[in-house]
Amino acid sequence: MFTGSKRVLLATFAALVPITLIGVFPLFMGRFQVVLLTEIIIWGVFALSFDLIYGYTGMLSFGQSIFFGVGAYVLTYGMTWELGLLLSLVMVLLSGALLGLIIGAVAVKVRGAKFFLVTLVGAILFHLVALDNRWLTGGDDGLLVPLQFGGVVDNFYLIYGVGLFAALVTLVIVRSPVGLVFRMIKGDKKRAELLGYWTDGYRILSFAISGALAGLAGGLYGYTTGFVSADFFHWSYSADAVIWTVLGGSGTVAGPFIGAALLTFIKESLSSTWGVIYPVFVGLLLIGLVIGFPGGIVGLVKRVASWTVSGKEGSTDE
Amino acid sequence: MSDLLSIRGLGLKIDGKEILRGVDMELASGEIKGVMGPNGAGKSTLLRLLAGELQPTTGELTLCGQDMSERPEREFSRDGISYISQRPGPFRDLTVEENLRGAAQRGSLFSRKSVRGKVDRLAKLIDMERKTDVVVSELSYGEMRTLDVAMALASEPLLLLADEPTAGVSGGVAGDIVDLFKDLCESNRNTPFHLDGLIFVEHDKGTVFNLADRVGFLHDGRLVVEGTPESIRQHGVVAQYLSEHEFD
Ligand SMILES: Nc1ncnc2c1ncn2[C@@H]1O[C@H](COP(=O)(O)OP(=O)(O)OP(=O)(O)O)[C@@H](O)[C@H]1O
Ligand SMILES: [Mg+2]
Repeated sequence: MFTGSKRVLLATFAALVPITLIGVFPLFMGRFQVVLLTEIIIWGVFALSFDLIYGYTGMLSFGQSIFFGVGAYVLTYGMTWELGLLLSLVMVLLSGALLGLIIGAVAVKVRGAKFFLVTLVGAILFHLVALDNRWLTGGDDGLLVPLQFGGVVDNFYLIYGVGLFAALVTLVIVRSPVGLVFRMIKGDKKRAELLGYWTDGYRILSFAISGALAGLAGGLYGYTTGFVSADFFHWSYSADAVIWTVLGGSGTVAGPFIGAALLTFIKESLSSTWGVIYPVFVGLLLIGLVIGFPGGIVGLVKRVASWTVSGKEGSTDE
Repeated sequence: MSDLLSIRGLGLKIDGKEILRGVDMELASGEIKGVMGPNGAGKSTLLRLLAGELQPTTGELTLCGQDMSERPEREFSRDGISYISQRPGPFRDLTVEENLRGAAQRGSLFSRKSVRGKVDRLAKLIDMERKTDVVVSELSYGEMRTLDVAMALASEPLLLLADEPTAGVSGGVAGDIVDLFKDLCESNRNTPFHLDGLIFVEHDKGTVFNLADRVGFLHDGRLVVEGTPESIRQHGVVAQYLSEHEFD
């Protein structure tokens, strides 16, 4: 118990430092860096949406790009119809959750490895439909997003606030009794059912929450770039979310943000000629991770931290 | 006294193979029933049917007079049947406390206080209060089995089904589990985690004859004989089985 509360204190502190640093970042950095950091936060939220469904509930879904695209377009139409940013974002959350319920209800009926394939096919299908229906999506050419305020720093603080909100809500959910059921399902679905839980219901719920978060990321990204297109539905966004989460550490709230930050930063730093090796680099990294560090960066840090903590306490305790 | 559980002509066929055939069994309220039999006799299958993990192909199953066939698995637990499977079942990546909480919170998801109280009582019951923060994968086999017992009790079942709960567990811990079962079955109805009935599978005949009020002997998917420990010892097939396993 004692070590438990101490760990919470340590984790809170470890989280507050970067959160504060990021908050004051725009005061010291240039426009380009602020834009980059804004994007990183959005990708973090997006990866977090995947983490909820995979890292916590154990479903390897490739469908995140669907919610990303839908969220971006719902925001665009909300702004176009002059609903205002706040109401548009609320609509984004609701539509993501609703779509999550629907897609989740279908997806949970699919067993095992087929689950991954079905969600991937679903993602590709949505992309094609979006490309085809230019009247709605503008196809490849896309649509402009009417902005409420345009400043880079203003936008950064908007995203910063929403990102913080998303991370906190997720933290509360995964720490709640419902979050425990998610983790039980990840560990052993049959066993959770045997204990009396309607596991399919919980998995659908996980889809809905994840859909809302992924949609939020899509909406924020559209708002930040001021432009959305059918490309927002591209399945490679799903792949990015997987890689960011696994690199940073799945089953943690910080992990997806760390993974997204690191890889976005690396991608940006590579010059255009070296850009072509980025996919190869990511592929190798992923293989190395899965074999070497299944817990990702957060897992590694936790392990190192527990060595030092247990090293200190070992002499006094037990 | 009315029967807690009653099964009639229970049978299971998988891919044309009859794994259980025509099993009849009654469990009176307050009764402890031991199930014995050679490997592959169908003991685990019988328990899995009673737990709702498998659906019978023939026969009927009633709990407290209520028909349970065709019900989804999760409703068995809600209706008062808990099940400890032959293999350790705690969630390996979760801590002892999380496992207990997960099992205890089912019927009262958001009343944190009562769930916490129950978790504390369960941890105390199995003497693991000092291990609540340990991740299950770091527990010994015996500790996992003990945790299984506590998790099964968390839903405050009427009837507990236990498939070889003490097999592979060291003598002391195995004895603790058996004693706990005995205490809970003999306890007063208002005692926390009181059991109204227990069906357990066990190879160790000492445990079976010590714990059970009545014993059933399964062979090749059939319930060959059922009766008090004294009476079934006399039965030919059972006597032969017991003599072959003299030194187990
Ligand atoms: N899902 C299944 N499909 C096909 N056959 C099965 C299945 N489950 C069990 N069996 C077979 O049914 C028979 C009974 O198995 P069961 O596990 O119930 O035996 P048991 O009495 O518990 O044995 P043990 O003492 O080894 O635990 C075995 O021959 C087994 O191979
Ligand atoms: Mg068995």
